[in-house]
Amino acid sequence: MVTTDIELKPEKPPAAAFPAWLTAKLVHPTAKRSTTNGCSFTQVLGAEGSGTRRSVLELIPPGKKVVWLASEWRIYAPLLWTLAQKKQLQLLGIECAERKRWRNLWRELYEAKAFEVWVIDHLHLKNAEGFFLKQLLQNLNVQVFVLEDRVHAFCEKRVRIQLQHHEHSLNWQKGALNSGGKNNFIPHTQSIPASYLQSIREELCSGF
Amino acid sequence: MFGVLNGIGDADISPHCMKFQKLWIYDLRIFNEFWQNKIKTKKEIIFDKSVWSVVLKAYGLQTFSPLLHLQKFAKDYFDHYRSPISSKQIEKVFHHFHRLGVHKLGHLQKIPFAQIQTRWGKDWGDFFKGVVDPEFTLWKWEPYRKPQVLEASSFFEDPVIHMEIIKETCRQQLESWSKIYPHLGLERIVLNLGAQTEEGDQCLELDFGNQPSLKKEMDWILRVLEERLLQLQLQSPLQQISIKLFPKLKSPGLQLSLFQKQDTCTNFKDICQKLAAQGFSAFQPEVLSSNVPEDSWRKAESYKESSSFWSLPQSNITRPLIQYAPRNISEPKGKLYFTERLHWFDELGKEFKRDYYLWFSHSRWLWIFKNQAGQWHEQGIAE
Repeated sequence: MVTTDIELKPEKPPAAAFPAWLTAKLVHPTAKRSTTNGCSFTQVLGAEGSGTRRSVLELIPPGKKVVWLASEWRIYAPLLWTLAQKKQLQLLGIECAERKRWRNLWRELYEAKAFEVWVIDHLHLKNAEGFFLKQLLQNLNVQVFVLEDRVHAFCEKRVRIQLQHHEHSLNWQKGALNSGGKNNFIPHTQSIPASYLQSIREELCSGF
Repeated sequence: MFGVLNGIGDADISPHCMKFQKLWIYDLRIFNEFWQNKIKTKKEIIFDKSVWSVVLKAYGLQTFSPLLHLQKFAKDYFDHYRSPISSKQIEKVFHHFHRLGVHKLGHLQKIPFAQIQTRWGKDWGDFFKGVVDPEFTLWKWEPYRKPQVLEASSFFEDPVIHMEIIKETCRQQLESWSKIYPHLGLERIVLNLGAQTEEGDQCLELDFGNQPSLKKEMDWILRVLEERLLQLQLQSPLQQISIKLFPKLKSPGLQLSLFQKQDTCTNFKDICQKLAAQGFSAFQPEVLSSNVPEDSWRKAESYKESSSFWSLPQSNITRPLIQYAPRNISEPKGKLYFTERLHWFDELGKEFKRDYYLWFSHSRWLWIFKNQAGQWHEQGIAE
């Protein structure tokens, strides 16, 4: 049962009526593409062993609350949490293999508004799922890292990670949704030292 | 019941009340039948089974209504839901129907719904679906929330004719608000230009479709305001101006209690419990006493925030980040880098021995081990 009630006290009409074009709805020219207040999607491409997960931890600003989603948990979690703790990150891991429940899970996490960074670890998202997530998070100020082997269309930035000697080479590129207007993003290359590999090879193996 | 109708100021705590243009819509399904029957006696209130039906009734629309009467409702509908469809487009669509010979509301039933959606898009599709099939179409319910308004007035000692002075006053006021509320999004500005005589009063309303940020888009807002002000012709000198600013409403947070009015972030413990209740596995690792990789930790569902919780032994820190159940491999060829040796007995007294190595294979550093029987296994990838 639904009812309506016509408002008894209508607002006072303006003293002078202006033509429609003078009071037309205004839209900021860059507004449609501006995502400064909303979420940002970064896709992280790299084979297993190239250092994608360590590099993602490096890319997350310190002190953030992070949720790490994976369909099958293959990460040595105590180490991941130790690395996160060094950066003062609060981490929560979620394992969910059922694709049909992912949207519900994302809705729950969205409603909680408890996380500033989402890491999606090899969920093999479909485009529809990616755009659903983007639509869902558009009003939240969250950073989303999508770890995936396949290039997705719903990310603004892409970073390809390769292991070169004792360094992770990060090759930053514009994603499909980056029109060039956002933060004046310029493709570039960055490197993060893979110190753990060096220490294993040089320190632990010195006597072998 | 009657109190709820009059208590418009507090109506934003109830999700069962919605304002659509000048109509107040109340969802009465939560009330007892007794109260529903009682309220039916009031003549000024319109009832029906669905929101679409009741709104169409309130607009005086029925099967034999001319289609042109629907145009006003369409404009209100798209305005209310901030749809990108402009009034020109609305006119165009209705003109198109007129040319097709669709003059009455009932004629719309002859046109397949899918065809409308294909021709004009989803927004129009949803709208006509509601009009044609009001009982079974869902209305986008947006609970009413009291708008917050920032208001300021300026009085001029000497009557003002020049728009420059008005523009400067507006600029100063907007800048002072942007300093106080740096994250404020703008929905609407209403400028009242008060003249010496009441007949000369003018009111300029500016609607911002995309709710720009007052601080970041200040230059653009001022430019637009200046352009609009320059178009005005003052009928008499101004004595005062008042500026009303309608900020963008914040999206409501998760309502945890009846008395929660502000957005709050749910803490980790709550979200863990909530996800666990729904069958999702949200966890933190808990380090176990065993040093064998596959038994060295487990997923703990209860969230702990103690900083001393993470005291991994040095040897575990050098273990690879990707680990899985051991799988057989053939004897590795090439250089191996020894990392650690595990040696233990199980409860039956059986001896186990593992020598772990890092092995570079196929552009990856694999974590492999050789057991007491001399078999090689792969258990992880260094990352």
